[in-house]
Amino acid sequence: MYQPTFPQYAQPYGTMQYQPPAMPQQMPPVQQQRAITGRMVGALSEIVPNEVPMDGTIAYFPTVDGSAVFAKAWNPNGTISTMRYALVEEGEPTSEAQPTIADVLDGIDDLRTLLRGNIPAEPKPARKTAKKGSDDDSSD
Amino acid sequence: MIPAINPVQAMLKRLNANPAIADNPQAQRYIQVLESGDAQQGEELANNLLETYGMTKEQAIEQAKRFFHIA
Repeated sequence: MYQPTFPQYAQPYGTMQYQPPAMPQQMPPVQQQRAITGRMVGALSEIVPNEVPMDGTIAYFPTVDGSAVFAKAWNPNGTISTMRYALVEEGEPTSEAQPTIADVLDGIDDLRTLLRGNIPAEPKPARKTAKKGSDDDSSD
Repeated sequence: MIPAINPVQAMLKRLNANPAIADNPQAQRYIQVLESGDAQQGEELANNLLETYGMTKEQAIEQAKRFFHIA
């Protein structure tokens, strides 16, 4: 009697069933966390070139007082580029002086005066000219 | 007969075989300069590196001599 070497194929002709290969279980993609290179520094001068990785990645150096973060990376030409990120707090008042309501009202009054043509004549300030010759036009 | 091997080429080949160098874009840039044979570019690169590390040319040569055991 014929004994097939591969039992899975020992089926009558026409009834062979195709068994697809078992699919491997799909694991959820695991995001590898990349560590940040750098350390806390007191000042920019503390950072030495050896602390900056030569593989082109950026190294971050936050200041101890939290006022800035220095980012350093090697350039292809053999120099190190330095970037400084400064702290900006939310809700902090801006350094520019905001106009007050009184300033706005004064501006409106000036516009009214200008439109009515009632601009008072302002004395012209004395000009200081540095002429080499004398200023008088008297002829000799 | 043993074929003559260019020592610089042999060194570059060994360097490229090192995965730490092969995967390092900065190192690849330096090797490109070496392979191109551009002396001006190489000198500029070397000077930039020295300036970045705060070393003089003489100090660098002295360190290289000590590293390679050259009198």
